[in-house]
Order: sequence, then structure tokens, then C-alpha cells
Amino acid sequence: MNNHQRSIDHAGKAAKFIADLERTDWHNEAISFLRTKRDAGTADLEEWEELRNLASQVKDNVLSNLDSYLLQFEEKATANGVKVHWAKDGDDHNRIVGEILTRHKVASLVKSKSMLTEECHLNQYLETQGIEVIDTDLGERIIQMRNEAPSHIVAPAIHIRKEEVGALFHEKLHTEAGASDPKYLTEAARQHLRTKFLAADAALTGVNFAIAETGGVVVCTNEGNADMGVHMCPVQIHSMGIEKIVPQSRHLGIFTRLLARSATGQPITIYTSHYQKPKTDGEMHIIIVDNGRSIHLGKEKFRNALKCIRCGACMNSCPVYRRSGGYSYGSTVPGPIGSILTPGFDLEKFKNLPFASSLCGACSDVCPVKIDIHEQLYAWRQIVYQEGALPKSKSMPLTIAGKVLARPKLYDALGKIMRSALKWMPKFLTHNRFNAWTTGRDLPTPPKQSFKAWYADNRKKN
Amino acid sequence: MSKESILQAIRNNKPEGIKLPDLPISPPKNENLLATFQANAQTSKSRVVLMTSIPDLPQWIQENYANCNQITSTWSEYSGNVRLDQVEDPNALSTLDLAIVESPLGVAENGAVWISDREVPQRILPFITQHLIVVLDRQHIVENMHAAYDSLDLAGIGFGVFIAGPSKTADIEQSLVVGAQGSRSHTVLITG
Ligand code: SF4
Repeated sequence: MNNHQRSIDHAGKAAKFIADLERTDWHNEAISFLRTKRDAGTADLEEWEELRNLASQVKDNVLSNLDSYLLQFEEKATANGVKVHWAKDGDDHNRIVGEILTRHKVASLVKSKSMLTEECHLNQYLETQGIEVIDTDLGERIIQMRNEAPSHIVAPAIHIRKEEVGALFHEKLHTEAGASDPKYLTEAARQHLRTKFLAADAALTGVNFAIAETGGVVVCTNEGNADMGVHMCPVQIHSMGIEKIVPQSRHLGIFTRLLARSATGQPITIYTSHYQKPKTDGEMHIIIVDNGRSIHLGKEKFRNALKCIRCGACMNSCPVYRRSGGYSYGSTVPGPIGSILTPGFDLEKFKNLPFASSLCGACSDVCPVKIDIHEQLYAWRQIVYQEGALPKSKSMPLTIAGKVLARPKLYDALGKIMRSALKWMPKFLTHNRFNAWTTGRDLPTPPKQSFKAWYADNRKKN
Repeated sequence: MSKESILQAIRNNKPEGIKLPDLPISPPKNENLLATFQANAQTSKSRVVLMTSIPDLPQWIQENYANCNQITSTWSEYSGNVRLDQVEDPNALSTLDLAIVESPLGVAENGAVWISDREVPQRILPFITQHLIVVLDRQHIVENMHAAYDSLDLAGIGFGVFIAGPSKTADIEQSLVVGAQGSRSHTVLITG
């Protein structure tokens, strides 16, 4: 396979996923359900579009003043008694967490959902240090027990069926064999996780928003797991990407109204927690992580992907994601947003992701911070092409098409040939493994004449 | 130093200064904030009860929380049997059945109530308790999250949370289950 070996083969992985048609339909329905709830949750809010515009503008302002906002944030947080750390990459972040935990002789860490720590592979790092890490979001706990990564940023275990959770919990938590009632299984997880919260020495959370004006961080959950961990443990750590900043607390009004509605259609998450200062006799740490974001900021066409608030609406709306599953993207953040973020970090590895789209634009239509996702997908395709990183099956036809389209006479002549050729050509010539387009689709019936000829004829008639 | 190199990279790469937009001041348009609050809270599986409908509070609590043995309250109208000032280790609250706390702020558009460590010094309390009752004055309900943040002073607190209902999850095949890691039930008692 030459130089493409390192890249994620989205189409190949998707092909495996859809081989199980029944499961593909189930997955598609499950994800569509989230999108339906989002539509219902946003429908009666008159000011929805105004909120999206404001959110987008506030984030533009954040990106253009990111250095000074981060400094202001650090200053306020430090004054609040918080210890602020800066990490240039994932290794740096993991080392900082490791040092804090070692200093406090932490044996067990409870963690709430954080895509950033997934991106940094924190769990694996801490486990090599002999520290037990317990993911406490139910979906995350399920995939952790299965040694899997999240397949969706809001609903990490959405690809798993309740019977599979039942079998897993039977093995790990000794629930009844064959039990698959979500209520019963959730109760078992509650009991299990309560013992973990009580036994833990430190808690780590991700961050939804970091307020420059007050030095505090905001975390949104439905389960209450972030708070169960943070308030039970003497040491609390919050890991945030540099782009999580909002300027002032009043801007949270915009983002809290957008986030849960876009994610699940709820008007707000059950818990919206604001951590400002450490608890009495407690320690609070915030780790500010770059890991490639500051470089992405310099890519003019692509920088506003950093406005993302990780609501998941774009993936819920994506016909490709829904039928190929989160794992086919091979990245921590899958779906449309993953496909425009990842090529910026590693073009060779993720060059196929911008093609995992029909460019229908459903993602951009729902994005609460108005990222031009489908336009960026298209722009990445051009870059992949220019860099010569395109596989032959895509680059060869494009080169030929480019030449043909540049010569109108040749185009006319070839059009004529194809219109008659498609009628008599045997199917194996058009439907073969070199033409992925015809897998599962048929070619259209060729028209009798070209549009040009039809136009000329009709002009004469009229 | 990571800090300097990160800041330098941002300075080199950030776009030209873009101004903060003016936030539109949303005029109060809702006539009946309480009714909106009630409707939205119920959608999130909260129970909203008017104090005026309860003739005898201790009796009401006994009837509605019959299985709750360990009860604590930060509300002057009711005293439980667990004294918070004697609790040092949050673990000691792990057997708590019911907590009654006061909230200074409710939000009509989503049925959420605000609780900070000003009202409840034991931050873990509203999460670790099996059941939660939040006392809210009907005059303290605002229209939406913009109005809510306008009235809060985050810099003045150590911790604060909007709670919009009982803890819940839909992580197993998207079936909604109430009582994930936090409280199993959430009742807002409206006074005034
Ligand atoms: S890109 Fe937009 S829609 Fe997609 S997760 Fe981010 S904020 Fe949500």
C-alpha cells in the first residue's frame, strides 16, 4: 500500500460498518433521534438565529484576542487560589497531571467526560504510572470497560446495544445474566460508581467554558458525575483547550442556551457547574492545553473550526457519520467537525476525512457557532489534491476531467460518445472495483442529447 | 517555557482584532414567569409544588419522603436530623436521604435553579443526597439565562451550579433513566 498506509481509510472502515445492514439502520435511527430532538428543542426559540450569530461573533473576538484573554484568565484564577499550568502538547499535559497526582500520592482518579484527555491519551499514561482511572460518565464507563474509545462526543456509547451493556455489566458488575433493562443497568452503575467516588483521591474534568473575566471554569453534565468527583476529592483538576475561553460571565448566557439545545434538545443540561475557587483545604488546578491549536489558528480558511463548542449536532445531522459510525474516522472527534480539524493537525493521516461527506451542508446549517463546515471540507479537498496526497482512484479522474473541461470541443465530442456508449456498454465496465460510485448505486439513464444541443433546438423552435 | 511559546504562537497566528458584539438586552416579554418555569421544570422531570398547597409542611415531607431517614435542611422553616455544621468530611454525607436547600434564583426558560456555596457551604450536598428539595421564592424567577447571568456575581463565589432537574442519563440505547449519579428526585418548592 505505499505512502497511503499511514492514513485512515474511512471508506474501507465504513464498508465494514455497513456490512451489517440491520445494525447500520439501527445506528442511523439512533443518531437521527438526537437530531430530531435538537429540532424540537430549538423550534420555538424566536431568537435562535440571533443567538447563533452572537455566539459566532463572540468566538471571533475570542480568537482574535486569545493571548490577552488567556493571560487575564490566568491572573484571575491565580488570584482565586487556583494553580494554573500550561501544556504545549498532550505529553506535557499528561506529565503535569501525573506530577500533581504523585505529589498527593493519588491511587485512584475519577474523571468526567473530556475529549481533550482522550486526545492526549491520559488514561493510558496514568495506567502505566500505576494510577487507577475511573471514567464516571455512564457511557464512558461502558466503553472504558470494553477498552474502546468514544464513538460520539456527546453520547460516547451510542453504538452499543443494551443487550451488550447487560452482558458487559454481568461480567464486570455481576448484574443478572441476560438483564438488559436500561433502568436496572443504570442503577447497577450508580451503585458501582458511588463506591468509586467515595474511594477516589482526586477528580479530573474537562471544561466547556473558561471565563476570562472571573478565572472560573464551567462544566455541563446531565448525570452530575463531574460534581460527585470534584466535591468528594481534596484535589480537583480541570483540563481545557486554549480555545475554551469566553470573555465575560454574561456571554455564558448565549452559550448555555445553545449547547444543550443543539446537543439533545434540552433547554439546558441538568447541571451547569461553575468552579471558581478551591474548596476549604482543597487544591484546584487548571491545565491550559495547546496541542496544535495555536498552529491551527494561523490557517485563515480553517481557523474558525476552533469555535466549536462540541455539541455534536453536526455529526447527528451527517448522513455519512450516521451510516459509518464514529470509529470510521479514526480520530477522537469524528464526524464533520473532526474531518475539518484533523487534517490541520496531520494531513497525511487524515487526508481521507474531508472526502467522508456528501457536502450537503446539513452540518453548517445546525452548527450553533456557525462554522462553515461544508465549505472547509471542500477547501481541505483542494489542499489534499494540491499536496498530491490524493489516492490515484480520485486524482486520475480529476486530472483527466480538468483537461477535458478546459477544452470545450473535446468535452462535446466525449459527451456524444458517452451518451451512446453508456447504452451499450456492459455493466462490468462501469460497475467495477475501480468505480466506488457505482457500489450500491446505478448510473443515470443517459439523455438523448446534450443540454447544449437541447438548448439550441429549443431556441430554434421558439 | 510552554506558556511563552504558546502565547507567542497565538500572537503570530491570530486574526486581526474583532470587536465583541453588543448583547441585545432582552426586554421582559413573559407575563407569567412562574407558569413557564413550572412547565419547563416538569419537562426535565422536576416536580414543582406551591407552598400554598401544603397545609402542614412536616406532614407533607413525611408523606412524600416516607423512606427518608437522614434529612438535612438549610432552610429556616424546617430542620432535619443531620446537622451540617458537624460534617467535615464530605464522605459522611453519603448516607443522606433528603436535603432541603434554598435558591436565590430560578430561570423560567429551562426550570433551572441556582445554588452556590453562599447558600450551601457543603458543595457536595445537592449531588450526594438521594433526594433534593429546593426552596424558591416566586419573585426570584427570571426570564432566561441572559437575565440569570446578569444578576449573578460569579467572582464573588467559590462554586455555583444551575440544577435543572434530577440527575439523568440516556447513555444506554438513549432510554431516559432518572437517577444517574446525582439526586434521584428534584422538587422545587415555590414560596411567596
Ligand atoms: S462544529 Fe458546530 S455543530 Fe459540530 S460539534 Fe462543533 S459546535 Fe457542534
